[in-house]
Amino acid sequence: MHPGDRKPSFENLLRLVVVLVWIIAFWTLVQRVDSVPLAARFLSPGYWWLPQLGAAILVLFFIALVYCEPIRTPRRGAALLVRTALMILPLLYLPTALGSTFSLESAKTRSVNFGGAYEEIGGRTGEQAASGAATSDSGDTPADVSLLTLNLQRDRYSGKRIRTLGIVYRDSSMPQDIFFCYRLVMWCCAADARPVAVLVEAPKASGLKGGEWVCVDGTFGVTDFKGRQIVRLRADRVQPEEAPKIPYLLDE
Amino acid sequence: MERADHCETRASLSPSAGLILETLFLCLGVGLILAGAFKGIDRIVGDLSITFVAIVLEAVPFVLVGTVIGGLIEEFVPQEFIQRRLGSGSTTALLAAAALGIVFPVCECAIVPVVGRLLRKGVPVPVAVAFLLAVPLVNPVVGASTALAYRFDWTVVALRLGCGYAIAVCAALLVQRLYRNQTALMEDRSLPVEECCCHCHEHEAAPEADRIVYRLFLALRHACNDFFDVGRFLFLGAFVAAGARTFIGMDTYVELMNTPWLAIALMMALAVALNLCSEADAFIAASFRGIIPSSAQLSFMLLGPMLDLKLLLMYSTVFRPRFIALLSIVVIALVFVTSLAAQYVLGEVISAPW
Repeated sequence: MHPGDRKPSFENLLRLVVVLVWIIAFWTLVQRVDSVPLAARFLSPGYWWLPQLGAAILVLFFIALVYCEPIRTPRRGAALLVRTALMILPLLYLPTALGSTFSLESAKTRSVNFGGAYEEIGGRTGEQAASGAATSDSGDTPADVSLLTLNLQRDRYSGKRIRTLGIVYRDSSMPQDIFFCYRLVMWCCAADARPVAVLVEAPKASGLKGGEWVCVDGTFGVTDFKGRQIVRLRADRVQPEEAPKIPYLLDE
Repeated sequence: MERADHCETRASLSPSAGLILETLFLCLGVGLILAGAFKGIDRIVGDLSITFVAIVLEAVPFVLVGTVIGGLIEEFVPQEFIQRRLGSGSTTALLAAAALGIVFPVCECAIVPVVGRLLRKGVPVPVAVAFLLAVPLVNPVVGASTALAYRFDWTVVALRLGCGYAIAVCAALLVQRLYRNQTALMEDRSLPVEECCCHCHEHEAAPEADRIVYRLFLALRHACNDFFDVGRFLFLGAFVAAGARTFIGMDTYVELMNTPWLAIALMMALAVALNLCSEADAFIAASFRGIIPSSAQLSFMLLGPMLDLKLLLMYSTVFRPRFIALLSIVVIALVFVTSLAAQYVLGEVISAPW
């Protein structure tokens, strides 16, 4: 198939390397750690097939690059090197991305008035309204409810005892016994992840650090404050928890 | 078979300004990774990395699919066939040209060299403009990626493809009234019709049995070349988008919800700046669901495939600067008016994700 009498160009060689590196990257992302592919850090389950598709097409590209005559382009010298380097730039970020989780500041950046919400609802003055709305029903066994479900079905869980998992967020404006418990909800990919949160009143939780995963048991309540619905959780128990395999909540 | 792809590289991407910009971007990208080793900056670099990789990871497979389809069309659909159908310059030909994306699904980066070939062979400018503007937008690959990004909200898909088709046809009709071929096109075309930049014609003489397989590999080869041509613009766009998601708080966008025309204008500017591929831009637009008006998301998805920084560079290989300026103004005005009309006639057609 390949004419065989032509020398492979330097550009062709660089392209082979780039394609090979991309194949390895896609292959790495489909590998499973604790039964979850590494791609789960970036993509929702509905899109986990994308790296496999990408790898398959790139394998075909690699074969075509080996067997077909190189296409000559006018790229030479610095232009060739810069443009080739640009093709692997995202892969330079891959190790950092795999080793990172979104920071607390990211949750604040990705929400509308997340950090300032406590001040907006009037701090302690809003607390009374929330407490009134949340009818304690402490005799029931707490139901495991995700923060997304709590926010979507507020009326259903109002006054009920629930258990939920999330990350601690607190800033300097908040007293030690109050924090936000939040998780990021992923729609398609991590780029569109946005936080959903509940304000937790936990007198015994002053030692919790921001960014820590916790499991909160308590009574859920909803109240209106200045036309805005506030969701609160009066905690009976707050316990540090290991981060889940997939840190995101998924819209299903 | 003639080959039209990749030839654009020799004319459009050679300016040293482009190389300087690409070098600066590369230095910034590599510099940020290195800066991530320092305490304080590591958090920002971590957030940026996750967002950047996520956008790229989601977009690249779609771009790869697009380049493969483009390569197959390039290798197996004779250009003469297309030219024969569109050469008349009638309104019917113009309408047909704008709908060719249904059977000719290629992204905007692959379409410009093909249009150059068609123009050289005598296809009228308005027909070529309709083809150029509509095909990267009104095609099944873009429809599928838009449907995926918006969770199969077919209203969004229909609006995007329908409005895109209408804008492309209107722009072509306006161009028809304002320009003639000889004043719109560059006189000094860098590539004769007979010349092909890939130098791979030996397959024409290959044995019949091997020919199909060989041409399949050639199609993949062209697709690979397209990927390398388009990839760096995609990564640049993804990096800018990731930076915007990392550094600009959502609070900033809240005001836009109350000012649709401003949101539309800003999203159009973003579309021009980001240089996203039409097969992947819906995912970026979808990330703004519930944050900015539906019309602004629509304007982003309509303008990007028709006009962005990389396309302006590529257009300059085919059209005169004055024609490009006119075409840009017409397209921008049409997208803005269409998006504004969608806002006031249809309202918030795209619901918030949660």
